[in-house]
Formats: sequence, C-alpha cells, structure tokens
Amino acid sequence: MKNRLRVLRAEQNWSQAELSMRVGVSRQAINAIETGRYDPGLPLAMKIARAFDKKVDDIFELEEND
Amino acid sequence: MARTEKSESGLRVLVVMFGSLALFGVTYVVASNMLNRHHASVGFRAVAIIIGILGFVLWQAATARLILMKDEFTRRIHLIAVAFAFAAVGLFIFTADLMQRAGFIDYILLRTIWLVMFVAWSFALIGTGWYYRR
Repeated sequence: MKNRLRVLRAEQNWSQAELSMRVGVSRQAINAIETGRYDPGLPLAMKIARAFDKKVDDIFELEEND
Repeated sequence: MARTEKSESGLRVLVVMFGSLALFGVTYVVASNMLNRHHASVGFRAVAIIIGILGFVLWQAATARLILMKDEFTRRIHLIAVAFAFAAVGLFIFTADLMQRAGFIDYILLRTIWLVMFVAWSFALIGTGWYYRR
C-alpha cells in the first residue's frame, strides 16, 4: 500500500513526533507507516486522515499486488 | 499528551513492569526453597506450587496489560515476536526430543523450555522492533 503521509506531514511542517502525538501512537509507528513497512489498521488510518482533514483514500492507496 | 503526563505514564509502566517481575522472582525463590525442603508435607508442597504459579500468572497478566495499553503498531511487534518465540520453542522441543531419542543428549529440565521461550521472545522482540524501525 502506498501512502502520502510524508508529503502531507511536510506540507503541514509537522515532525513525526508531532503527528504521532496528534493521532496517539508512537513516533516509530509513524516512521514505519511512512517507510511502507507497516500498513495501519482502519481506526489509525481514519485518525491520520482526520488529523490532515482528508479522506483515508486521499492518503492511502492500494497497489496492484495488495 | 503533555511531556509531564507522558513521563508519569512511562514511570507507571516501568513500576508495573519491574514490580511484577520482582514479585515473580520473589515468589519463584520462595516456592523453590519450599520445594527443596526434605520431608515437607503434601499440603506444604502444594502451597509452594500455588505461590510459584501466582507470581508467574501475575507477571504474565501485568505484561499482557502493558502490551494492550500500547498502540496498534507496538501490539503488532509483540504479536510477531510471540509468533517467532512460539516457533523457536517448538523447534527446540522437537529437536531436543529427536536428540534424546537418538541418545545424543540426556533428558532436559522442563524449566529449560520456558527459559528458551523467554530468551527467544526477547530476541524476537528486539529483531522485530529493529526490522520496523530501521
């Protein structure tokens, strides 16, 4: 699964730590999502979308092999 | 979460983690000493077993509670680590069984198995955390 988390975070000028506090997870979780090693569950994906005031689909995108 | 709240939360986690581990250690030593006494009655030995089990279960419950308090990513890491530990212990038991039957080794103590489980779980936790965080 692809995501635009790093780009959106840069647009908001938020650090990983700041985003992690906003959505209530560890900074390592945000890093793992950004590097594509971890796909978040639906509740976390929705919290992230809410933090950026976007829809989940605007941030996360399925790839061919997903 | 404010920095102070986060520190207090972290402190509580440490207290629960090390407190439960210390309690487990104490109950294990007490139970072992009770079981090492010669000519102890059946009731006395049963109490020793119950004390040992209580300490172990309390430590397990505290560990589970601490993991469940974490976010979904951390819980995933623990889940994978437990799966690795389970596989490692399964392999250890299977190998030990074959080696015993082959006459290469003597019987192993049961407590060795959970020691292997604990070590495997620790290494798997470190390895899984490293994989996701690198």
